[in-house]
Amino acid sequence: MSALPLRAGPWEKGMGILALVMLAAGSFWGLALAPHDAYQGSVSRILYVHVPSAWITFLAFFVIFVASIQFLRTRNLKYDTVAHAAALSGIVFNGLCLATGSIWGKFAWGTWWTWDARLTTVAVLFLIYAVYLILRSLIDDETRRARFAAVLGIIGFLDVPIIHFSVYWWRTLHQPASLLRPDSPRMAPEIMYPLLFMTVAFIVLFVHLVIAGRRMYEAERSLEIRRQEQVYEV
Amino acid sequence: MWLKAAWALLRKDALIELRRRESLFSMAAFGVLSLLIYNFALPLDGDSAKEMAPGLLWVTVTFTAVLSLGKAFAGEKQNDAVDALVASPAPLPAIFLGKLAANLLFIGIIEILLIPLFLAFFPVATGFSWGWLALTLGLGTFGMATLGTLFSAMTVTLRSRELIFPLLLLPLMVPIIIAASHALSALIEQDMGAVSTWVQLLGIADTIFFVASLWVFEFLVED
Repeated sequence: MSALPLRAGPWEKGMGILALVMLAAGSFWGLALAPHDAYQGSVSRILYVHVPSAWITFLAFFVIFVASIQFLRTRNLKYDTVAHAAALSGIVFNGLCLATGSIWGKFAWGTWWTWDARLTTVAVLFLIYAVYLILRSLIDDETRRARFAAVLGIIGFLDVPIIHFSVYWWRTLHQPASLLRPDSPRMAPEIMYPLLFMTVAFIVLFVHLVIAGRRMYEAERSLEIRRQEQVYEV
Repeated sequence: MWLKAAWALLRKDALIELRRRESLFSMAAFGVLSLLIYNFALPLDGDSAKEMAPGLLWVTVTFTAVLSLGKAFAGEKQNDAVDALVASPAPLPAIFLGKLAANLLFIGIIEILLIPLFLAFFPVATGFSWGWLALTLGLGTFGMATLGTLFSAMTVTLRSRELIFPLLLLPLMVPIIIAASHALSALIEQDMGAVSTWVQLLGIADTIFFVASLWVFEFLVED
């Protein structure tokens, strides 16, 4: 009988602490030290959360893709737990990206929602994450669940650039000049460095969450195995 | 071998449909009903019809297709016919190809029925080229049917199959709906530059989905 993975390993702990420190430092840098935007004032500081969460939204899709291919090649369920944990964290960052984008949009563009190209892409990705998690919840057999989820993870990732271009052309072919864009063409280094720092902090947090999520699923699995062993003993 | 197996599967599915007359009739009824309901519910005269028609046509085609796409593999569940199919000497991608061809045939028949009705109900200028219309419809339908066939194989064994199938298909085919309906509206406006942009996007999307589906299909039916 394998031991239940109840305690966090050194990597999970280390990444968690590093994420906390970096997020605190990055927030201070972005909120207090960095200059605010000439037009939008301090509202634009939401950028330091919005942009990194958008990056993680895409990064998690990539992680799911690689883990899915690895699972189909090796049939090692360890990769499936990576994909599952990445999806669960990914949808949280995706939701955060949508929420901060919406709040920012209300201040910068005067509306909670607009069919901006990137906003729409991220919204479609949110739906795909949701469907991925729903599909997983519908399948009891763990190897079949892993296989089907891997197929969806691969097709979903291949869909990302297609979604991006279709949505982008949809918005630009029809109304070119009126496009509302949150970013300025050139970003001042005083804004870019804290942004990059926060992006790294978010990546560290994401890695921590994936390791923690994996441990959670491993624990669930060992519990399930124990329960079945007990049923046989009785 | 490949084509022979795919053709046998297509022929079988077409024969079953010909004798049962189940999917096609309900699809046709649903499609016509949707077109009627749009006319009742929306102010479709003059310019607004011109703007809304391409989108409405694609919504109708998509929802009508969902009715039959989701059932593509359901018939094979009886007596575990899927296992027999997989165990047969036919290569797995050929099975996918056969099912895809059957789906394309059914949706194609429905489209051929719906398009004249659509043009009759909606006052849209008909000065566009029919070849381009067939191309945009064909490419859009191919992408939709490819994803639909794949997810049909995935959901056939699941609980609440009817519920999860459209949930899987619709978000992933968002780019196809966008490209196909905007290709159509560019065609109506005779903006051929935009038409070719959308047609290229459809072609790329179709190729990616088709090649990927042929590859991953085996992982859906291996047990």
